Amino acid sequence: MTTSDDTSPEALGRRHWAEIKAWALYECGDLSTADDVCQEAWMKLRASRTALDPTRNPLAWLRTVVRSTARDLLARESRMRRPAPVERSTTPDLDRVIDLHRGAREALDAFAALSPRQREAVDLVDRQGLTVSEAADRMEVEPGTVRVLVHQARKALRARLLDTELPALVRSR
Amino acid sequence: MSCETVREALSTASIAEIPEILAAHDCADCRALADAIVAQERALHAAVGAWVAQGPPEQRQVPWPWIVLALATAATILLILSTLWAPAGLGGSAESFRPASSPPIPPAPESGQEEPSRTEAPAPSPRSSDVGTTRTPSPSPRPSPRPSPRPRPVPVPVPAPGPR
Repeated sequence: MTTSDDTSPEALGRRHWAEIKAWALYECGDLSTADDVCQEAWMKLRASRTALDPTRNPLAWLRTVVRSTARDLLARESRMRRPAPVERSTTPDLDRVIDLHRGAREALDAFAALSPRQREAVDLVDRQGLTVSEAADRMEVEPGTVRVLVHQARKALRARLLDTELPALVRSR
Repeated sequence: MSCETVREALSTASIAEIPEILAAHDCADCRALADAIVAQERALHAAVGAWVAQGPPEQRQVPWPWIVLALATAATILLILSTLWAPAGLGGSAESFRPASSPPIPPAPESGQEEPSRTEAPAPSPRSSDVGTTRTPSPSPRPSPRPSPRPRPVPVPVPAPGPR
């Protein structure tokens, strides 16, 4: 089957690029690895020549692609421990991104130490401003689970400032 | 509300709830702590937001029309140049491209007459006896027949030495 512009995986990826990046970040935790995941997922989408099945949920398929790409990459990286990641970006506002990273370095490190579900929950609720029930719908979990995840994530992110011990859940990762 | 309670509340409250928590508590340390928490989370969200907002990698478009145009132009120029500079034997005529100021080409010699050699004979290398003497080269090369090769000296057989 040949692809048309609207139903091709590439067009889907282009439309939902922000979600792809967020999912990659939830899976990996650090921006550099998530960048690699996005690049690989993008290459997969571009290489895919078949049109999407309209009976299936395209976003769920897209998320599966990103998740499997992230897991492959993380497994590969754990096999060959590479040196500290280098900040990379291909956009013209590179300076701004680097400045933001520098300012948020410790917070990003703490963010990377969270679990993927905690990252997703805290990002949906605190950064994107979703309510707990909306975030629960997105994550396909109960609202109570989201509340717990957000609670744990905030506690972990503020542990250094509050000079408290890291929560056991985060520390055990 | 004690500082301990406020810190406990600050550890899990959302950024929007922090002013409410601090409203009933007048402590500079707790306020500084709350400011640090807000600043850190804003920086985190700004960094993540800026990173997520970067668009997908741009597809590099190959400028095919320009490449075709450049190739066509180059091919045309090469064709014109090859037509202008083609040797006479390959379709071009030396006469037709001869400048008007140059002298006319002499007619081809008739059959039986020896054609003068157009290639200049290499100048003879000076012999050792000529070193130091000045030789004025002839102003124009003379079309001369090729000199006959010098006869090689015949080796003289040397008699074998006999017993004395």
